[in-house]
Amino acid sequence: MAASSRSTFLDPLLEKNPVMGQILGICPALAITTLVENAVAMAAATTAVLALSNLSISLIRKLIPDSVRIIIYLVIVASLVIVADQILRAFFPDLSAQLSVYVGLIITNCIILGRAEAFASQNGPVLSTLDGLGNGLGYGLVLVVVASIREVLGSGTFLGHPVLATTATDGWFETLGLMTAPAGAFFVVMVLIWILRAWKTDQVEEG
Amino acid sequence: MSESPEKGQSRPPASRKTLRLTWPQAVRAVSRAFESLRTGSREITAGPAHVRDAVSIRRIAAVYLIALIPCLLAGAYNTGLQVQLAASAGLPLLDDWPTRLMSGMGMDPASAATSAGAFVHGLLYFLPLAVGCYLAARSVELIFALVRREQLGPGSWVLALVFALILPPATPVWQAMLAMAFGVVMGKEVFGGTGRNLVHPVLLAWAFLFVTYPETLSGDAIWVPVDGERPAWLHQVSASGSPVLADLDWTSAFLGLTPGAFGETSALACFLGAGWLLLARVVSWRVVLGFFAGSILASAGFAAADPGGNPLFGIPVHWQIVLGGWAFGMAFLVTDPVTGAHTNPGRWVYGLIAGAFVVFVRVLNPTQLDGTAIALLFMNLFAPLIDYWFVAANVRRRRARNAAQ
Repeated sequence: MAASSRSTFLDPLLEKNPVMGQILGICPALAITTLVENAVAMAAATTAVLALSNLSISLIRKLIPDSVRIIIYLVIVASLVIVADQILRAFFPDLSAQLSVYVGLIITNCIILGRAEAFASQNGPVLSTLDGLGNGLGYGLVLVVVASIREVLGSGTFLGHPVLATTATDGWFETLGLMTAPAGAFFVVMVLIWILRAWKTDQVEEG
Repeated sequence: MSESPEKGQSRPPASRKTLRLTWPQAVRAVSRAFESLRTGSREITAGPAHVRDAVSIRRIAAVYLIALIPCLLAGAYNTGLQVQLAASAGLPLLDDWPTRLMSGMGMDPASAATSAGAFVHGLLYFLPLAVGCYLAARSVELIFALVRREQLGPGSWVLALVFALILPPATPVWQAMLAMAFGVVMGKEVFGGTGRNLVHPVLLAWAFLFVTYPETLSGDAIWVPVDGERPAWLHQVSASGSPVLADLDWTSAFLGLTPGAFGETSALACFLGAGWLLLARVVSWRVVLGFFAGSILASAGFAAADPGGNPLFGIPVHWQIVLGGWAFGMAFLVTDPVTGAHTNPGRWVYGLIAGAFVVFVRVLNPTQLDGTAIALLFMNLFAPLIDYWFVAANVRRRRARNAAQ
């Protein structure tokens, strides 16, 4: 399967988005998207891990025995996640404290293992890196959009700057408690998927 | 999507894109949508296979509207009455526009002398909520009908009135409208419109309001629109439980002369509405009887297994059915023909579990003193599962019978 590098990189953004198309990686998408800052950090960490893990797995794809391949993927991904976690802790300690366990949980993000198994184990290193970057950015795009909606409606701020005058500061806007609750993330993700599939009808599964 | 040329040539797939509306057509669709409110539909199904029946969604909606009248009248009167009672107990009135308008019309909202005044005052609180909810629901339905190029269905008034009737009188109108719009989008339109919904839009709207603006739906201060510190008798039955019941009079709780949401206070009015719905055969008596049985069993069970320490265990069932939203839920929410179970034995089970579940939430959950709405919303999700069991059991039984022959 020789895919063009352009479509390898761009398709995961909207056409084959890992969150909205395949409903992967929902857990962090729900848990850390109350603030845009967290979402950006999470997106960056996941994209870096995903691109590097795809690259490393692609490089050694012909050496990996089939029967233990998942374990080898996990070892590579886990090492990268630990590096990402240590970098976050060293340079952004506050952010790292807010994301807490979710950085470590990047290893369980099914997008990473999914791309390793479905793409990196069958394609060359350049394409695999592009695929990792594309999927990471597609995932990050959803994270940032969901977090923007939730932060503006739930807290009246964007990246920590007040954009809507909330009643707490004598403004007019009463924050929507639903948006800060985890259930709110479900509704936001659901509406985004709904809009995307109404727009690109070829993504609708046949029921 | 698989590409098969033979299939594509013999019959082109029906695509929504073939139906492009021009702007004049869109405007006509809007005006026709409102015209159909007044005159009824002129469109007649063209295909050969459809059921001839006197019952349509429009008629069911009309039956529901009639059933809601007692609740509406009792609720409006009681809301004004509670303000009068609170004022005569020395509580200051709120300076909101219904109260100002009452004074402007020459009626004293605080004087206990006029029952007509109480009625008008309650209506002034109720109508903005109901009309606001109707406009919110109708706008959402209109947008979806336009985008999907479907005919605008009836029924928004039922949703709006039912939702307004389970709200406390002091609910801000914009909050109610926002919640109603959310309920109609997420509870109804997302599943494809009237008759296809998984959960009751009103219950979902209530849950949205409860999560988003909890101060609107919780606490003691919401039930009577007056100011100041509430005296003990104004409190709903709270965590202190049965000792407070002693201050309440069962008859007035049954008639609906206690503080509460508009339509929920009068159990009598709810029973009248339920009776009318049963008489019109719009709702299933199996669900209603099951709901009663479930509450009776659960109350008896809690009373028998009372470990002490929680006085809510001991509330007998004749109190359960007159307090909070039980009667309203029994009449208008659990019986909803779309979101409940659809098989006859399934209706028994659905009603039974729902009735027990309401009592469970009330007794065991200290943050949900009136568990009706949240319990019924939860039950909505189980209705398809209950139906699945009974349909599968029926299939098994028939298969065994045929194999035996």
